[in-house]
Amino acid sequence: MSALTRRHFLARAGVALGATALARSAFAAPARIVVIGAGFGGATCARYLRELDPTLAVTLVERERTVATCPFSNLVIAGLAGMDRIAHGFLGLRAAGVEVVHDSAVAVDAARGEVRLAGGRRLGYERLVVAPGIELRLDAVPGYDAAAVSAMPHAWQAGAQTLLLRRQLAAMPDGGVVLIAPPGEPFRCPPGPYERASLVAHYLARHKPRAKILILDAKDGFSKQALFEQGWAARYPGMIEWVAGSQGGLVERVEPARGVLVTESGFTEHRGDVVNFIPPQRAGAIAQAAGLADESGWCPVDPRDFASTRVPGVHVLGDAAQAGAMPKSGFSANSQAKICAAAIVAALRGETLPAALWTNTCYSLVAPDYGISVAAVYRVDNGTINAVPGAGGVSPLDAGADFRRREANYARAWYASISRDTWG
Amino acid sequence: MKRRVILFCATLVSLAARTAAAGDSPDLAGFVLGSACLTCHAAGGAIAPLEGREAVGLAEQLDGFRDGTRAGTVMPRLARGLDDAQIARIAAWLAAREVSR
Repeated sequence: MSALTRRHFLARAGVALGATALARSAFAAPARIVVIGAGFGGATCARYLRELDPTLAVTLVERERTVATCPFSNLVIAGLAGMDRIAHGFLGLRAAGVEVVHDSAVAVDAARGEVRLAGGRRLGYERLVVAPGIELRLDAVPGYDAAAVSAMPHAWQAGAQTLLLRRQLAAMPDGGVVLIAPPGEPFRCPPGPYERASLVAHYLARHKPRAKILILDAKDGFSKQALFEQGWAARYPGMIEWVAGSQGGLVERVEPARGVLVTESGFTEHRGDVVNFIPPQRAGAIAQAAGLADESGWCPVDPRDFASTRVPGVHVLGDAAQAGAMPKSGFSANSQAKICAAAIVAALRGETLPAALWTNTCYSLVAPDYGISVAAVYRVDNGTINAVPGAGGVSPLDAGADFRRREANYARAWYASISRDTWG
Repeated sequence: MKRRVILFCATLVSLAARTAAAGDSPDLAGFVLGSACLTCHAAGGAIAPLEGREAVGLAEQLDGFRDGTRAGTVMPRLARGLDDAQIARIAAWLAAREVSR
């Protein structure tokens, strides 16, 4: 038995023991579930835990009074929506019986079943769900450090960064250059940088028509690429140029003070009037502090129930988790959260979780009336999450304007619906 | 194939009704397949809400998306990932849910 397998076995044995103890004491205090992070993963899990078993004491720990989503933040950046459109409060979750605590989780004591908060409070749990999203790696690309973030906003965590990038675009001169530099895989929201380029182009075409967008990519290909490129040619001819990583797109160093991205071993410097540098990422800080992440920076989990393979009694959801073929998206996190909630309820009852399916659907807006999508259904086979063969795929390349318009409308309806499903 | 889905569905609907009447234990087998629908089809949303709809109708629509007789945008891509038993279970789970949440 390898170290990992053994650890995993022990973790599951611990869980089984916990479940038995709980099942025996039906009249004891309700099982306590602590959820860290109120994004698409954490909020959905908290909400559905309470729905599936209203006797559970569910506590949700979230630093912010309102959370802002990355989905639809590109509309804010492009001046097509305000921050209120992407901000969500906690009235719905509280109405569902979730206790919401506004604080930061700073440590997990798995042996005692306790989370320590920055404010000093300790929360005991029978099960812990960690859904912290991403942490930006400010040590990965020379020059892109904590100070660089305010000169070259990443805007990959929605909030002040979203508005900063918006202001920079508004202040940019006509004829200026916008640089967008997406990271290599894996990262949050694979089609996001290209939707951003699209909607920024939509803004520029109306307000600064001589401006250009240059995408310097770490990768040699990207999500929905053919659809995006078709849309750019149709809607923003000549405005967006994409450079593949192996063709000089890979950014090796940044110089925030000069607005410069350096590529090709220092032989080429690209200067932007606005620079949106999206750095490499890893699982959010609490996942690192709690020992949930491996050397990749992301958290390995049992694909069936998203239980950590490293720390017993803890589940990891959403962007922070290594979820096989599932992309790091809000929809993926929402889907994982529901199955995880069911798995926790089943385990506490000493039942086996029935076979599950996971789903992802991601819409991107090429323009407000031009939507494209990718969809897939996933299942566990051979010990990992794989897409179900024969299903899924992207919007057809040969679709007409009506199909694109319908998908744009579905994108907006999707955002409203998943927001309601997640935060109530 | 269509008849098999419908037959499956009828059995599951009566099962789901009995479970609901029993009161306590949620239909986890239905939940881990069907709850994904609610991400886009939440109650009160612009994309057709599905909770409380008639199970046989839901199963027929999913079956139509899967075999290409019903047009759609993402639904044909998603429905192709489902087998007969899964379609029946999803339809029964959605049908058994309360409409307002």
